[in-house]
Amino acid sequence: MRIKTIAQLLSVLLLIALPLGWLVACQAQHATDQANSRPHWNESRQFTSPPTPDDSTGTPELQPGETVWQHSPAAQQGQQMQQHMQQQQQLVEPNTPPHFARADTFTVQPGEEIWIIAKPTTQVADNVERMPGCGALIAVAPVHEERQQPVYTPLPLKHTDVKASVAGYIATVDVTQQFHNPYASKIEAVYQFPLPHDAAVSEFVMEVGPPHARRRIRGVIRDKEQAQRIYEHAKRQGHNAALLEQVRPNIFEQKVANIEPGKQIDIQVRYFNTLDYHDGWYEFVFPMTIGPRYNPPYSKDPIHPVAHQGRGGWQVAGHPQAGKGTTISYLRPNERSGHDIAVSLDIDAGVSIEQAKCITHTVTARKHGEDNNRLSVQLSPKDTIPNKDFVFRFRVAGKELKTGLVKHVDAQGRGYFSLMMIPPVDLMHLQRQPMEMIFVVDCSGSMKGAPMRQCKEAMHHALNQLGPHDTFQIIRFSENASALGRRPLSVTPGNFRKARQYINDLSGTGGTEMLEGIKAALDMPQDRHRYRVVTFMTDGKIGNEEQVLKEMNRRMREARVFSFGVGSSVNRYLLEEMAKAGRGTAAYLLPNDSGKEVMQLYFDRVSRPALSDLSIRYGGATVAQVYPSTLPDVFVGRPVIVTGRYSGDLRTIDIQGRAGGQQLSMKLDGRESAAHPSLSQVWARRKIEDLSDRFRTQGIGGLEHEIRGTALEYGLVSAYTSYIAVDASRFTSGYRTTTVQQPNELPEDVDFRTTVND
Amino acid sequence: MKRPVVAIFCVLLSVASLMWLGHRALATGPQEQPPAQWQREIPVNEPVFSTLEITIDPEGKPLGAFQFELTSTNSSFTVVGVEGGEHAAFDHGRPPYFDLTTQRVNTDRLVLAEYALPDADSNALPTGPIRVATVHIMLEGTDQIPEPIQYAIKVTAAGDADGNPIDATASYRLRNPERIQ
Repeated sequence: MRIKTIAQLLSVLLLIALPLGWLVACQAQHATDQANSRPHWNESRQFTSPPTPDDSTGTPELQPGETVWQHSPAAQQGQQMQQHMQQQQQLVEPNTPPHFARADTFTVQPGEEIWIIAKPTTQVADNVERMPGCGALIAVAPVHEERQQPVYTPLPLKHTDVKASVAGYIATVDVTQQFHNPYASKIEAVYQFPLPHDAAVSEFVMEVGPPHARRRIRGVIRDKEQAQRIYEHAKRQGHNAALLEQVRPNIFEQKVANIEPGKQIDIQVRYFNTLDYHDGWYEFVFPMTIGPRYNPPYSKDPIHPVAHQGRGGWQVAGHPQAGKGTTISYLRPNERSGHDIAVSLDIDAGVSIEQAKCITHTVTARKHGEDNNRLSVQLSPKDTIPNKDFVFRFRVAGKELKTGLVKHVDAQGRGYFSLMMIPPVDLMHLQRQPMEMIFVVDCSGSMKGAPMRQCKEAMHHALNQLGPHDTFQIIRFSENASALGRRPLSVTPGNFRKARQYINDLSGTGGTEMLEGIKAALDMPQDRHRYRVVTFMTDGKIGNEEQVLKEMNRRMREARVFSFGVGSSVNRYLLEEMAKAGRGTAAYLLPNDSGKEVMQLYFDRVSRPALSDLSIRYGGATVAQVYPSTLPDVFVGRPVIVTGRYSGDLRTIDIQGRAGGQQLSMKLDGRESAAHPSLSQVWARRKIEDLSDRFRTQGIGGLEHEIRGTALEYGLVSAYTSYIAVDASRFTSGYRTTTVQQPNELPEDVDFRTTVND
Repeated sequence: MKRPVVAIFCVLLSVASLMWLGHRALATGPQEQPPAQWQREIPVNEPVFSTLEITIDPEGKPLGAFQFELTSTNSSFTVVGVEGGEHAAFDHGRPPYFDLTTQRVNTDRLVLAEYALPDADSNALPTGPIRVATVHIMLEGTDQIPEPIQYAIKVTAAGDADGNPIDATASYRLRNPERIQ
């Protein structure tokens, strides 16, 4: 009987279980079919990506505590996101101070308040420790007077390493950018960064893989459009890929695709450039940040400075500035990126180094035993915030520096040379003719504060240098231009008083309509009896450089234009090109420079006659493709570098020119030369620069094609060529990627409120 | 006597049915293990990325330096990166340098040269086949070309540690991308 009852019960159970089991099986099959119908990859659901910001409504900020690699079914994603959000919230009882106890679940009663408080650091550290391999970069911003709450800023770029070596006057610089992913989902990192305007970027390597098995992939130079296309395909298909493009000759954009959570990809860039030399000092410059640019409404290719979007750094789609030109984001004053920088510099001057100094940063310097020709310099670990240019100067032995020649013959038998022409000291003894000195002062918002103070100091000193036969004028510009007088003033005590008052009243505010300043200075009727010198005092932080330079070329007459860069992160490209267009030279007044001393040297330079009508004869060799193609004038204290190709035996170099009505000449023994293996790239970069100048000023067709061909042949990044590297051997997991823009540090002497769109 | 037997048979049938249904549900449900390798579903017009592993065999002689040339005879391929090889004697801490020219539209000709480290022990130089480079490539229009894609690779120069020429042969292996583990 019992057995019968049990059998009946089981039969009933079986009747219930059969349809139920069938239903469960059908549901599971349906779920599998849906998963397999994804458009790109048949991805295992066991490795479902953690939530991304746009997986839910709004744009949640990813805090470091949320940087967790989850191995969980997709169905639980929403629940996890909710839990993350809940963990940010603290329940506060009425009339009690806020506390930091974590509440996993809570109920809000009528009359109660919800306080959302930034997570304490300890909380973040706990989570990071629990998840090895999913580390987050946490930066605690210094407390700012306007916003008392520190801001956590997890960002993809965690470190930049710069290793530079100088041989003679040519620098080889290796820059390594370490990108990682501190978020919970896959990202594409985008970073705009500065390099010297004459940098010949000729190597690009992407390093991928886990720490114990790193792999290095050398990138390939390609047409810009082709490189972009390859990058987009690789990104879409889930490969690690990197793209390096030129935005301006001194601004580059780095894109790194498909960085997985907790993973790191390093990008190594190598470039060569020639050191600057002025007034007895060689100068090595490494720019660390890009100054925010002003863009007039008519700019064709603007560079928009915008505030860093959210604490997570996610780029907001549909930003009003998006879609036109380039957008560069900046950290707010109370934010601090964890991105730091290390710089090491090895100098082999070839002759004894007499004096060396770094006026921008704290460094340690070490000599190599008894060898006075060599010096090793390292940036102090206490000074690693990349918010100003790194400038290191050194002076070599000898009262009079000789003109120097560097030669190289490459594997194909092509000879290259570089000649640094040092002006003869005779120039200093020549009498100057009466001058018409016109100061054009940038009074835009980016000049507010220290740069404006330095400008004023320098101008006061310049007035003291004027002679009784000189005249002067001061023009200020920001969004419009105005002048001290209707015409240049003579040097009288009354005019000086008026001028000093005018200088003292100058202040930095508004935009930078540089075209207004150029028109005001160059359209002014010129005094035929005086030599006109136009001095532009600016930080050059504009986005319409090409328009300004074109306009300068169009309006240039007999005047000479000298540019005078002021600030911690000057747009040296613009300053140098303005000086070139105006047949003058550029000078720089850095934050720790004395305005008086710099202006004294500057005045000596601009007021003395230049060595003009230069001609060079090369003995024993056939020389071709010498750049710059039009030899500039040589000024006191500023040499000119000429590079070219040669074949044969370059035995002698004979330089001739005129200064102050006198014929001057220099002879050089071509056999007394140094060698540098990277001279071919330096030459190619100069050629591209020269072709670009001609393209801009003369609009000659076909030059674009020649620039592209040169860049491809010598492996250089240019306006038409980019570097691309793809790891085609691996896919990354996950199929969605979010673009994260790496913000720049605001230059230390620039006011956020007057320069950045927030 | 028959009834207990029928009852036991019913019990066993029920248990077996439940086990089978449960197994089926688990096998097709969300807990299914991932396949060993991803399968790509790339649109026909989309380029694909692959790698070519280049191997040089110095045929018993110590390999101190080499140069090879790579191109394709029946397909367009675009080089998108170059990685070094596997032997320590050629590990310069950086990927090898190369010359790249475009032979025809989207078809590259790659010339790669490398030499052993100056301080490498000549006895430690490779004498058998070694992978000397991995060339990362992008292939376009693969649906319009005859299979398989033909690459042409030849050693244009090879030498021992003293610079004496040696005979060597080169080969390649096309690999599809793998999933990062």
